[in-house]
Amino acid sequence: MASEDDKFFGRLRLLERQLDKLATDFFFSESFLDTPHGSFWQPPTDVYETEGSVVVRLEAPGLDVKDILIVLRANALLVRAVRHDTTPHERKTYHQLEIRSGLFERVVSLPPNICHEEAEAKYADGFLLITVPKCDEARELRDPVQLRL
Amino acid sequence: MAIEEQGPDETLDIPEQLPILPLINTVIFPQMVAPLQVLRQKSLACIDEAALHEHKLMVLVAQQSATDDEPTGGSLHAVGTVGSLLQMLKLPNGGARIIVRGIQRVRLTRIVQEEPYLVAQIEPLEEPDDDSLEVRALARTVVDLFQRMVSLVPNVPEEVKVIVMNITSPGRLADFVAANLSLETEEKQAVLAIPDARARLQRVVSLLNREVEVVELGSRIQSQVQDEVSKTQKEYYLREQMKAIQRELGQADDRSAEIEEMQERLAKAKLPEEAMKEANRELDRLKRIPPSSAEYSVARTYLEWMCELPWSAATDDNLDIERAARILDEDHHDLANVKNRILEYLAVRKLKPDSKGPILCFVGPPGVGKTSLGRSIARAIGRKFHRISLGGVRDEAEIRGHRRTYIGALPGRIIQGLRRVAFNNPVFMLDEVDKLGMDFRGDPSSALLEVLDPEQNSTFSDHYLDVPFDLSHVMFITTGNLLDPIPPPLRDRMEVIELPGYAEHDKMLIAKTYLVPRQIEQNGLTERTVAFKDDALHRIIREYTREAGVRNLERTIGSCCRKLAKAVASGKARKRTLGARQLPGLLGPPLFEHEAAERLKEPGVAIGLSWTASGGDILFIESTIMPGKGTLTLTGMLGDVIKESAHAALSYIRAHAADLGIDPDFFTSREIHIHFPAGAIPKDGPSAGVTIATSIVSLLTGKKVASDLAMTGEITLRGRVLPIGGIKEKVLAAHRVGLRRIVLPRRNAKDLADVPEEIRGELTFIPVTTLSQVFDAAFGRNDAPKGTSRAKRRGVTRKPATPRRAPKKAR
Repeated sequence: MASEDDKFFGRLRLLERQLDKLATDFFFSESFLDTPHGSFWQPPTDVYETEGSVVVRLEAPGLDVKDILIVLRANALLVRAVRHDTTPHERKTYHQLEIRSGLFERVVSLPPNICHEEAEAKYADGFLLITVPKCDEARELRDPVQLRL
Repeated sequence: MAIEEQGPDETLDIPEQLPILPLINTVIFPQMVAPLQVLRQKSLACIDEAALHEHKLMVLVAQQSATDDEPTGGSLHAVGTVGSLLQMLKLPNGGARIIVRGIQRVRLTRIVQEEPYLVAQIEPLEEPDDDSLEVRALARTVVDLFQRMVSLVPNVPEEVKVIVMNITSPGRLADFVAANLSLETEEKQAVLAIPDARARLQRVVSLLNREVEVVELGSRIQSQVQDEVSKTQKEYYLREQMKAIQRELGQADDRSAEIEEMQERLAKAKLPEEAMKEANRELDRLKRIPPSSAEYSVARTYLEWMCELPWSAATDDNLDIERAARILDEDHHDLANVKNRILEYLAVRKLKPDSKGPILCFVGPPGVGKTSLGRSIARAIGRKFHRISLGGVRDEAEIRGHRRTYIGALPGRIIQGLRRVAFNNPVFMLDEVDKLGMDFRGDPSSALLEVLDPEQNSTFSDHYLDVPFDLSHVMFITTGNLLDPIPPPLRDRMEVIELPGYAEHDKMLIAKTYLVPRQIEQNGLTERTVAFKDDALHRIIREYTREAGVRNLERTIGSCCRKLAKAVASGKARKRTLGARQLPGLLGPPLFEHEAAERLKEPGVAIGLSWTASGGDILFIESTIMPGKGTLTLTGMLGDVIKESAHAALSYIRAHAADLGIDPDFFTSREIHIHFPAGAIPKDGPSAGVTIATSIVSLLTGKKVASDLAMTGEITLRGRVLPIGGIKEKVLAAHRVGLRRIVLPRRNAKDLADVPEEIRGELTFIPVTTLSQVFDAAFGRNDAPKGTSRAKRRGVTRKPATPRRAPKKAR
């Protein structure tokens, strides 16, 4: 019994530490930079390169597809979306609250040799997957392109 | 670009009313993310409420006082920040940790709800866009200053600099910098309360300037400390390297260098053979023991002592006798016997250069100049002077040192003194030799025997040195107030020279020649601004001091000078001539009144003379008779000797009652009481014998004793008068109070030579050998000396002189 409690409190302490770390991370992340309202949260994002393409993968479950904006620029990709708090609106008391909701915006830089026109976006199982094929030489992209899901 | 403005966006609709989370010692700025600890029930209720809504909003407002546990609307600042709850964790202790993010500056217009949490009506504070040049310049200044500060503070990530560079909105820049400076809550709140970006930046610039200054100062101090440290480290490193190089080159390390140096110094010190042998043995030992051992430093210290002692260094005596006499006269008045002794010594030295130094002992009351005389002698001969005080010394080791086996052992004070003067023939003064103590640690006076014996002190052996040191060139002078406490063997080794107390006219001369000029000089006055009249000095000597020496006299003159200096310095007086009349104004009422001779109006009273450490005084002896059973009562704090002489006097009178014209049975049914007034002063000694006898005879015969007569002398049962001591002081005391005839033992007549000529001339001395001669002087020929001496006495018998009216002395 006691050991169960110990484990529980040990986990709590760990959580506390994570909270502190998160606070600092958050503070020094770009979230403090200028966006119209600032990002409320930052979905974890992977960027990787395969033989043929550059892939950007965001972990952001609970989004409505119409609330997602994806814009490709010459050498950057911008994702902006809003996650609404979908918990039932009833009387409740939180003991732990970590799931963020609201607007987020992420900007990922991309290598120059990519085919903007052939980029694809897909939202499935809570992951947003953006695949941009690579090409041999750097291309000029004058106007930003919006990717549709 | 237009396309980016599209898509999902949230215009946060900030409600008009929001729950309040009061903050202690914290200010949250818009766009700032901060972790908070929540403990208060009201605050927890506020969080719970906020968490229910889509954006989890609340107002974060700083409290005015950190100690306020139940903040109300009035105790909160008026401007706060709407914030969103990002993350929250309830803790087992009932509190919660939360992370909030500031969104919008708001003003609290009123409190609409107090329970279970505060709710405020709010009004957003618009931050007008301002892109003027001035604002941009201000923003750039802030960035520069902030980066300068960050670069001075250790442990701040480089990213912070980047973040500051990337903030484009001036208002947010101000917020960011304010949030990250270590400011007081009040200062942060003041920045938060400024909605206008330009004004906010200005405020931040001034705060930032101050902080940069503080940080720069701190880092300057830090770097100074670091400089120090690295300097010592560098030195250490270099030294080690030098050692290594020396080893490589086969050069000796510093230890053997030290030993070599010691050898040289020993050679230079010209040690006598025996001492050299001992020193060499110690040096050999030093070579063998490692420097880290405690023995090493013991041996080294010993060798250093050996090197530094003046084995053969001596100053050249100045044997110019006239010059010496002049110097002695310059420094001290009179004291002829001491001065002559010194000059004799010089003369002998001149004729026989290897003569031994004398060992003198100056005995006299405090303040007669014993110590300064020593200094003056050293100056006259041209020798070094060293003085140690033996008062209270009770450890033999103080004189002769400790054995080397003891930790921290040192040579005795004699050897230490010689090392200090660095010559082996100084004038060495041993002060207060009569106040040597003695206890279980040994008897320092016995150790002094060896030092002060001219036959032995050429081989004086200090325990520490363990080899003989020649003290025979040293001129030892000891001083003391009394001769009696000095142990006889020690007294025997010294040539005792008594420095008697000064008589009034001596003091007068000393005051005029030495003390007054010195005090005037010491108090910053000049002879032109201050002058002491003779009557003033007389009065100081008589009524403000009572001593054999002149220490208090000098102090009192000094005190007058200071008071005059005050008057001069404050501009109240330019020149003052001090007369006797002004003294009470400066010094207060007179401190002493000498026992004034009064006319003896009834039988049974006689005037004796006493000797005290501060000179002589007169003593009234009163006796009275009453019915009783043949007892003799003696009062007045008397010692055994004085009591015995009272008994002797009484026995003599009873035995010779018939001759004296007294009823032989007077004592059988009577009781005699003899009292020595000033009952609180202890008295002892045999010299009151004649006075007691005279007092009793006067009482029994009913004849009055002559009023101008003082007497002194010891008596025997056969009625003989024996000599006593202190004649000079006693005669001076009698003269001072105006007594003009003095009875004294015939064998003391030779001591009158000590009494100054001019005083002697004013007095009539009656030398006696038997008591009957005393009685003749006291009663029988009461009017006999009338013709000759009364004229000289200027009527003092009839009109006893008070000190003030004492006849002026020849000067």
